[in-house]
Amino acid sequence: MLGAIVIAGSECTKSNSDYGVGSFSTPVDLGLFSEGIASIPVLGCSTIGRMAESIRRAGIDDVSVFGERKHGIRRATELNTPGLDLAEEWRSAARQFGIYRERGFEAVLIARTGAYIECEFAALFERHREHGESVTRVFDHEGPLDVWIVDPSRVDESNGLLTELQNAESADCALGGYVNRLESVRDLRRFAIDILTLRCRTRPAGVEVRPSLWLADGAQVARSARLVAPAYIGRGVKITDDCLITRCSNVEANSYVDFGTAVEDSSILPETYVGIGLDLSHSLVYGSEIFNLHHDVRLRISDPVVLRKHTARAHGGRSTFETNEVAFSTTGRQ
Amino acid sequence: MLNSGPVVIMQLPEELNVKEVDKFMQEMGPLLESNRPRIVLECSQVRSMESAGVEMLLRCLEEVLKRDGDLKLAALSPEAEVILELMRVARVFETFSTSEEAARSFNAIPADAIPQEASWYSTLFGDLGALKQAS
Repeated sequence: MLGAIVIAGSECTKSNSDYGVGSFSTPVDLGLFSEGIASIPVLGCSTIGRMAESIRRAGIDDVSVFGERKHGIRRATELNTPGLDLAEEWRSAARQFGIYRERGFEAVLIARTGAYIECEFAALFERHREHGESVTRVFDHEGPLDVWIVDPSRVDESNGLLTELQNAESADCALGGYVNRLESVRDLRRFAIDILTLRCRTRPAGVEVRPSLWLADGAQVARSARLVAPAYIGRGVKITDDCLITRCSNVEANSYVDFGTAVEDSSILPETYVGIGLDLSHSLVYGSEIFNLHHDVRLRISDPVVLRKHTARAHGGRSTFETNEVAFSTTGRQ
Repeated sequence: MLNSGPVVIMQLPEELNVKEVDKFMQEMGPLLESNRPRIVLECSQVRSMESAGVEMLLRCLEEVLKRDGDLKLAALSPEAEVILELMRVARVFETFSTSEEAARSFNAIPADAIPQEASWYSTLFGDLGALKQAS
């Protein structure tokens, strides 16, 4: 029997400037990706969720997931509350690893996301068997990845599972297949583009209402808005009149794009309000934060009229336009 | 036609919020009321700009144009560029890498103000040259 443990969060040992956009200087910045980019939803699903699903589809008997946070992003208001305790998640993973050993599992795949990887997982297990080592670590042309195949009967996790993995003498296994290391905001944007342009096998979470145009449950798009494929409109999103969503843009869950705004080659993360008549291009936005990839700048927009956190209550908890003005609604295609 | 009068270079503050805009407009006021104002706003220090700041820029531009003057932006910080593009006003302003370049641009002579020189053969060949030039 084969098992898998998928655990969220890289070590975040990178300095904030390593996230590839500008320099971070405030506690908010430190908190923004503290649980790792892998927990942020991209086209409706977090990377950790996609990895787990991908491994399940490969026929692995048991897949355990640890550390998946609701959105993977901590807001400034959450900085004083306990965040994801990665050490505790690893302890839970170690306990599960022990359970796999007790149940006689032959090999366990352990993936720390980190990177998003697509490959033939069955082939990985086969190569691990051939190597005969207790641990086989996966790498690609850029170097080692945080993916290991482990023989639970030969690895003692009592001193810390991660420590054991990092210290073990391992065989190396080269990976062919899609890899996105998700080490920066730029990587996150690239991931969205790769999913929309079918450069990887994973698909957006939603309904493909037109070729390469995806809408998730509860998305509403005004009739006069224009969606140019490839694009993704997430769960509960509202796109209002005269908006333009184009060039592999994705608008994630419960966001609101106000009148006449153009979104080009950009990602709007969950629960974000984008104001009236703006021109958002080559960027990633979350609440009042904007990462502009063209100018390599990160900004906090203090003007709530322009960008801010969005809640359904902000618009009276109801749609701001009548149903007959809606071009798309995923309660039923029109 | 060449503009006359000095070019005034002013540095925008780091933060263009409502309070800073009010302060800045008090300094700008007399300039905006002068004849043919020529203003360069140096933006290298700008780190944040609210919609009040963008409105201020547009208002200043409108006022100087009414008085046959001009307002240009120089040394835009990356943050300023992002905000102006986001608010769709970047294309409204002439922008330069440095204040000096922006100031020099006020003295640049428009092409149609340069008198056309007679071609070299018009004097050599007399009437024939003139005919050739006319053709």
